[in-house]
Amino acid sequence: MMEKREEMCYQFVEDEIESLISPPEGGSSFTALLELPANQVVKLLDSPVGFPVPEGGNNDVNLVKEEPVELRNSEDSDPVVSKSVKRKEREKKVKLPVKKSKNVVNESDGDKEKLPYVHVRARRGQATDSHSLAERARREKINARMKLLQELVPGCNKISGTAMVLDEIINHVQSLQRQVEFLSMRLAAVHPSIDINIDNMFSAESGSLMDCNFHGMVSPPLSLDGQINGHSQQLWQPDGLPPQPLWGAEEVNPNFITPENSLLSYDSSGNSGESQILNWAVWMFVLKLNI
Amino acid sequence: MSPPHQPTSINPNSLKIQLAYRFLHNLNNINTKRSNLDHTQINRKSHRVKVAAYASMAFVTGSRRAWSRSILRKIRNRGVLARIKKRVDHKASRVRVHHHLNARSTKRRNPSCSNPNGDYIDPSGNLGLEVKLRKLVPGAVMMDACGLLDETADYIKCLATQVEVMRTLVDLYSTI
Repeated sequence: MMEKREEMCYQFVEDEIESLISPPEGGSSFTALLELPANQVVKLLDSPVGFPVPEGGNNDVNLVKEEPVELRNSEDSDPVVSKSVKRKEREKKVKLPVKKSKNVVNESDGDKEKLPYVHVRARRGQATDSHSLAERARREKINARMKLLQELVPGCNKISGTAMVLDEIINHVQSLQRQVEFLSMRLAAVHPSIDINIDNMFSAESGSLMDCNFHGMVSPPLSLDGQINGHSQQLWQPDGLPPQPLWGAEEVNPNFITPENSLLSYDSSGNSGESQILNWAVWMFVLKLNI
Repeated sequence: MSPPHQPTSINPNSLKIQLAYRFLHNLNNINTKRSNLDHTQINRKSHRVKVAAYASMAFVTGSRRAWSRSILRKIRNRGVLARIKKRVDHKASRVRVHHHLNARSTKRRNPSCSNPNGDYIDPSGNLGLEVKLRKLVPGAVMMDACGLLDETADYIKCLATQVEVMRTLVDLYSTI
């Protein structure tokens, strides 16, 4: 008869726990992070699961040993209920070794006298069934990613709280996109639309191209469109540079970069900042596009 | 996307340099494609430059990321759609596309119109913030939260590099 009563209680508790856990589990929103009330309710119910029923002096030992928890619950629970729930935990513990290894506390030592309670490696006061464990793992993943994002976005380190950090991130993305738009407008104003004659655009690189020829070879960017093509041909031909097809396919990129890199290696003036080198690379582009 | 293998003092595989090359390539392509009216209408040209910027970002990132894939898909679809629409009605398609683009850009510039308060909770249970982020990052609408944050991080990194490249270009062009 005792067994039967235990089974019924077991069923009841299981149903209740399931029903309480399912709402925050809803889908893939990381706002489960913020649904604290629901979680607290879950923890309220589950905390008797997490530690043994206060039936003896063992609890002092356990309380001393335990990790800090989010919700302390010391309410007395039905011994039968807790016993049956712990039996369920024991079963679950076997199924989920991986997730539980992350959690710390075990309350095994003082318990074995009173209850057949094998330690549950979950944090005190937290649920240990698969759903909440999965939820917790998810939340920790999301928290880790949020930390990474905080490092990426400048000025986000001091802010605490998910909502504010998200707000910062959104503002940053919006500002970056606006900057792209604004810069593209400026580029469109400055960058001439030229009909590029590709074969004449290429030059074998040498150090002579670096300083002295820049001013001579660079035509003003805003000259008339139709004339630039002819202009470019005049500019390039006196150099006697062998034409090389460039823009045809992707595999020419290695070839394209060779002369530039050899050129860049000449730059021994010590300006090794990457932005400086980027400037040189773009200068070479500008030359080739004959702007 | 095979990175160039040239031993130099810099890292030729760096995102910035790849972006620079690719962006200039795209710029030239776009400028040489439909060169009618380009020199008169700055709006259209600036839009093309913007598309080139996003395209180069997506190309450099390749298929590794969902946002780059979605951008590439969008560009290909636009190309196909534009060609189809051209056959149907030449003028109407341009007006429609232009209008659509204006609508999109204004939506971005005035997020307050669409989301008056970032914290209100949608009936679906999401906070307005998250939905906002999903709309901003391309291709992240149907993603779970974890992946969304990943995509956002990569997108921010690439966007920042692209902005840097463009700024350098503008400075160069303006000082010639």
